[in-house]
Amino acid sequence: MSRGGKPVLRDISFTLSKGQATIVRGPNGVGKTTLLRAAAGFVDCDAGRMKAAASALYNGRGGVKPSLSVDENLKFWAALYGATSNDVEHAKSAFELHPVASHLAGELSTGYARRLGLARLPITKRPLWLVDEPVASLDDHASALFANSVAQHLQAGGSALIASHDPIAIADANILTLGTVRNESSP
Amino acid sequence: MSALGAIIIRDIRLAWRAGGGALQGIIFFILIGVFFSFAIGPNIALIASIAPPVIWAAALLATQLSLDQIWRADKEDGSLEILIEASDGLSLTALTKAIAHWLASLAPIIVIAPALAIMLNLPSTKYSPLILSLLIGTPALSLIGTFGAALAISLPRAGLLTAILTGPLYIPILIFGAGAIGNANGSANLMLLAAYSLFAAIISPLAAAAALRFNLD
Repeated sequence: MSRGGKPVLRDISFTLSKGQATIVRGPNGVGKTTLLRAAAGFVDCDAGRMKAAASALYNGRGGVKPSLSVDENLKFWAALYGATSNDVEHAKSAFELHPVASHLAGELSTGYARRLGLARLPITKRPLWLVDEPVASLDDHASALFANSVAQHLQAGGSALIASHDPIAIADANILTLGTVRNESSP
Repeated sequence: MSALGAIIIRDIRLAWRAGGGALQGIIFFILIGVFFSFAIGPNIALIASIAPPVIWAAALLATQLSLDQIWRADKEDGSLEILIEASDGLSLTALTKAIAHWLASLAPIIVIAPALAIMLNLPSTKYSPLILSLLIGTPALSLIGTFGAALAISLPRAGLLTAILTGPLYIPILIFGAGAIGNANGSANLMLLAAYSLFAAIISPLAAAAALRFNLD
């Protein structure tokens, strides 16, 4: 796989089955994000192939609109993915967003904004979650909320591929460690 | 609510909230008319005769001001990947974004255009051709603009580049649009304008989708 015309990942093979989570680890620049984007279909493989179920990608920025309220952001996603208002309520309680529901997303703290971005994942109702650095800038409590949400998703037969430097408390998660940077010429 | 309807409502909301830019476009549109009327001075006959091209050029420039916002904000906050991930066809999403841009930025310009026409002393018989030509021609501005903005999406602060890219494609709209108000062959110009808008409605969403895919990596 390449990013910006430069080869990033080589010789990777793994299987992720239903009800299973895999945490991708590795140093900066090794291609964790590229791997997730390839699974989401945003990056093509140069050789070989990647077969993935319908996925929801959390790209670290979350797609949160600062000039919309928390509720408006969630309701937009629900309409986009064909979810019901029940799903929205469920996501709101899973990430404890009720106290800030009417605030503009731009007024939220970094941690709450990230929670809002992550709350999109259950709303998508997609079987495969691809999550890039979910717990950066989250406190322990919010990090546990995310881990719970993933656990529920796995119980319901979903799967998750999570790139993270921080430890995440997900039971029976596989660890996929990507090697050192192979492309020495990259900046 | 359907997914495409939700995109339209969200984009209109974003365009009209702080930092959205729709209001700036409308004020800019009025400002160009004001500049021309002051610059020409008290020559009423001259103002009346150049009113159609001035109004059309003002609409075109005001549009170009708002084009960069069509995709850039979504690209920067990660929403673009969500839109692509959730879409059933990227060209359909692009068409939806063009419709939203038209409703947020160009429909208000059409509403305010008669005020500009009064300021520029446009004869009252020309009012309905003016509104008609704007209604038929401005969708092409949004459609082509959606494509131009998609082409420049991976470059930072590409507002001027988008304007340069779309400029040549806007010239036929300017000619037929102003022609529909100004001269004797009004209806022929209107028909050509309609043809150009329909052509843009078919080609632009496909081209915008291709440009987005190309810039995704």
